[in-house]
Amino acid sequence: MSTPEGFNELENMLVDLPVREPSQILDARVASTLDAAKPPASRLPWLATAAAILLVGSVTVLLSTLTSTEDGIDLGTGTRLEFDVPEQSNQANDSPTIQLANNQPETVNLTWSRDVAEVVRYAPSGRPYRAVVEQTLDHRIWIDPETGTTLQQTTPSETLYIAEQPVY
Amino acid sequence: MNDWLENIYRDHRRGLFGLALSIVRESATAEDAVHEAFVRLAKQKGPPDGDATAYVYKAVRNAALDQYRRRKARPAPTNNPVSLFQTPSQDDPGHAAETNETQAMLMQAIDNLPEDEREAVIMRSFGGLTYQQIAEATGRPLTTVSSQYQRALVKLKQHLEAAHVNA
Repeated sequence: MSTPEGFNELENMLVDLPVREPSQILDARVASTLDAAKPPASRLPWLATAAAILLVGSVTVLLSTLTSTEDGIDLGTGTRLEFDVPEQSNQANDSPTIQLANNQPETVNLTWSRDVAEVVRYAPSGRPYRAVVEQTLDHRIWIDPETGTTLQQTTPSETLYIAEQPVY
Repeated sequence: MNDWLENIYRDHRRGLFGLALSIVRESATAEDAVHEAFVRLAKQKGPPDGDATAYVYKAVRNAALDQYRRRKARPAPTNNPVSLFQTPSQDDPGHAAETNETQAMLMQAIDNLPEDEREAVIMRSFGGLTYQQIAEATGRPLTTVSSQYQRALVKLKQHLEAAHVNA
């Protein structure tokens, strides 16, 4: 079933007609709807990447803590974990023990956060609003000064802020 | 999960909006219909077994018909039905020059086609759908869709020829 004879020129003219375009508001509404239907994990690929980097970093810190006799470790993100390691500590044990200055379990907190402004969304009433998601990675390291045991915990979190958009 | 919907919207946004507009004849209502259809489609777990493009057109068409029925239940709108086409404005002389006289006559003729024939022209010419896809989207038999489209072409051609004779 093709176009009847003599209508090809007319069909070409039809294709070239200036059809009315949907507005950018509709584009944003559809994009927002489809984005909202996606599982949260697929909206936060950076979070998974950051968690993986932290995991690798944590293992590195742990291994370094158990084997290193240096007085600090670079975490690779511009952060340096400093230890006060007295000389006698290394001499007393074959395996190195991290001795912190106050001889108490020490915690190190590292926090990464960023704000992500999402596209404009529409309430059931039709009023536009913008959602801003604050994504945070909280990384805590506990170090036992006597045994050098290191315990690490990474906690990702999201906080959603909703602000009404002015209508022009 | 909704990649198929994103792709279809990107490739067919004009055709989908044009189809909705041809039914409701109001820009804002047509946009509501397209959005409403995508809200429904986004809740589905994946693409349909059949032709996904025809399926989306069908969803938009149904949403537009729903909007049209709802609007009919309300008092009649005061403004005139919106054309499917961008009309040249005095603020945009370049666009006005591009829209020649023949195009203007063609646009008017399409706006005045019966609804089923206009739908076929929009989906075929502006959406690039096959007869089979139009048949699936509208729920009409394939032969009916083909006849409607060809009848529309004949009418449009006759309209242009008559206009040139009178000119």
